[in-house]
Amino acid sequence: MAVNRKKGATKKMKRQELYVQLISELANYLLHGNPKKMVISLHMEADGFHIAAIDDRPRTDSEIAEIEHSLMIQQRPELASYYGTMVGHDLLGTARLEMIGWQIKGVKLERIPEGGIMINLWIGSEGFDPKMFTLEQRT
Amino acid sequence: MVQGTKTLKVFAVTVMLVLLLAGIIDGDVGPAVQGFIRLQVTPARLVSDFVAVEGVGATLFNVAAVGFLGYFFLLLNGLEITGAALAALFTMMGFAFFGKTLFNCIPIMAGVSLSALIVKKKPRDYALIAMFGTAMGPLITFLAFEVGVKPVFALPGSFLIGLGIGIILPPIAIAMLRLHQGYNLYNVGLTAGFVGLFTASISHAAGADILPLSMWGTEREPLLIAIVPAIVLIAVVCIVAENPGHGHSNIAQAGRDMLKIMTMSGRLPSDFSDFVSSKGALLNASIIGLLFWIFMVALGAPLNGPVLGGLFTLIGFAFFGKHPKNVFPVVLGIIAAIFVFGKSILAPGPLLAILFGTALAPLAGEFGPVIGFVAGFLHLVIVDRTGVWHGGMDLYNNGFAAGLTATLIVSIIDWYKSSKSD
Repeated sequence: MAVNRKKGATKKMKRQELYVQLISELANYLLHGNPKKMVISLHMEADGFHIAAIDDRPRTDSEIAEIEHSLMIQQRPELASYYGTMVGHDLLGTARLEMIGWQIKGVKLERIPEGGIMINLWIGSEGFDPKMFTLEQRT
Repeated sequence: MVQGTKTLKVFAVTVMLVLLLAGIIDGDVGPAVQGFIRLQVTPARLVSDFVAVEGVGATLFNVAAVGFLGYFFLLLNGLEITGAALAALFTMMGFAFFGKTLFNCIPIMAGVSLSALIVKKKPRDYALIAMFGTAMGPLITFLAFEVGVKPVFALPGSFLIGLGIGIILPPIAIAMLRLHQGYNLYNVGLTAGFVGLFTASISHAAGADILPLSMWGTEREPLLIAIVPAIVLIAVVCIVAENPGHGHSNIAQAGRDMLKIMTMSGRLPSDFSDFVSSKGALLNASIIGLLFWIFMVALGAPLNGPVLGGLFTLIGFAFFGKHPKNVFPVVLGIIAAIFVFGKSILAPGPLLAILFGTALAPLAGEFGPVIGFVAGFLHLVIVDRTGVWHGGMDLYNNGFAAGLTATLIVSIIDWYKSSKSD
């Protein structure tokens, strides 16, 4: 019983660490654009979570395509487990969205009426069911 | 499989087959195979030029064998041939000209895979650390054949120590990334140097100092001179063949993609084939390889094992962080330091610093050419000393020195940026 509780606590701690790292890297990216407004929200589910980040900086189509490309890079376990450990830690220099891209199950970008963008990220474990988050599965 | 990945796979396999073929056409296959076997038991510490020790044929067999080991390791782990994988493959092959052998690579790769299993990950998660981690190979050869223990104990003992080194490499490699924040492309060089400090110190405490070797060939073998141009030719053919019938437009597209690559900092992890295109990355590798090859030929440098190792590593990392724009200021800084301190540009240390010091390219890419120049200058100063610290056990001595240099520079920039008031 005590062992299970300890395992559960470790898992929770690891999850929290991941939230912090991903949010830090995302915030680092958005703040590089000097927005006047930035909102980041976290929605937790049993086997995954959803991060939504909004800013008010207008972006061109090619900038949005670039963000999408970085975030939609295929899952790369050999890079994620090694270089991906820098996510949200080493913030000197430009933010590296691709390190977030290696960890996520889904991404959706949309312009918001105020002029900025909204980045939606879905993250989950192996058993993660993206349907819970009403997002089509990434291919 | 994506078209770009397929092209990179064809490129890697063709290069390895050409190296094998070059080993066969060099001369008698029999003596070359015997030489290849002897290389497995030859001291591999820095600097052991395998071409000077066993000749061209044996060395090329060793390079191809180590390359295929890396390639099958990637396949076994279900990984695609990407820019990062090519950087690891070419680094393994490059150092097989002067230190890596099948014998000393396998225990470390097995150890790193075991490390992944210990923390309930898959071996593929640490595949890159396993491949780059073979930098510690000389330690295995040293323990197996140089300390004078009976083979019945020395062989299994060296294998077990290799496993142990492999097990501890991932946590240290991950911690080392934090020091330089991805601005030293040869992170495992810093890791292996750090581990090497301890192994050399233990050896010193036991009364057996490990001293670096100095086997440096000065010949220029025609076959070895032709290797880099041959690789460039293979790369260009791969670019043209990616979309058959549109050779000209493929080259034009590769040129445009390479320009895009040159806008990137190259900071770890920058997989140019993923971020831009495999065509652009192949052209970047061709141009980097050719430029440095011409530079070496023009300087009158010997195209021996270590120099070829440097050129191979440059080509590999041209898929994963290096491009002419971020490499140039660093090289200029190294050359300036060579002249300021009155060193010979053709001496092994400075020559290898020019080739391998380009690990600092992301500093120039992110913070500009002046910082790149300063980094190159400082790198030459420190790399002269670091080899002795680990007794030549870390084949990536320049990676070790570059890690220290990058940590120094990044710390200062980080402090300045975070402390100055707006």
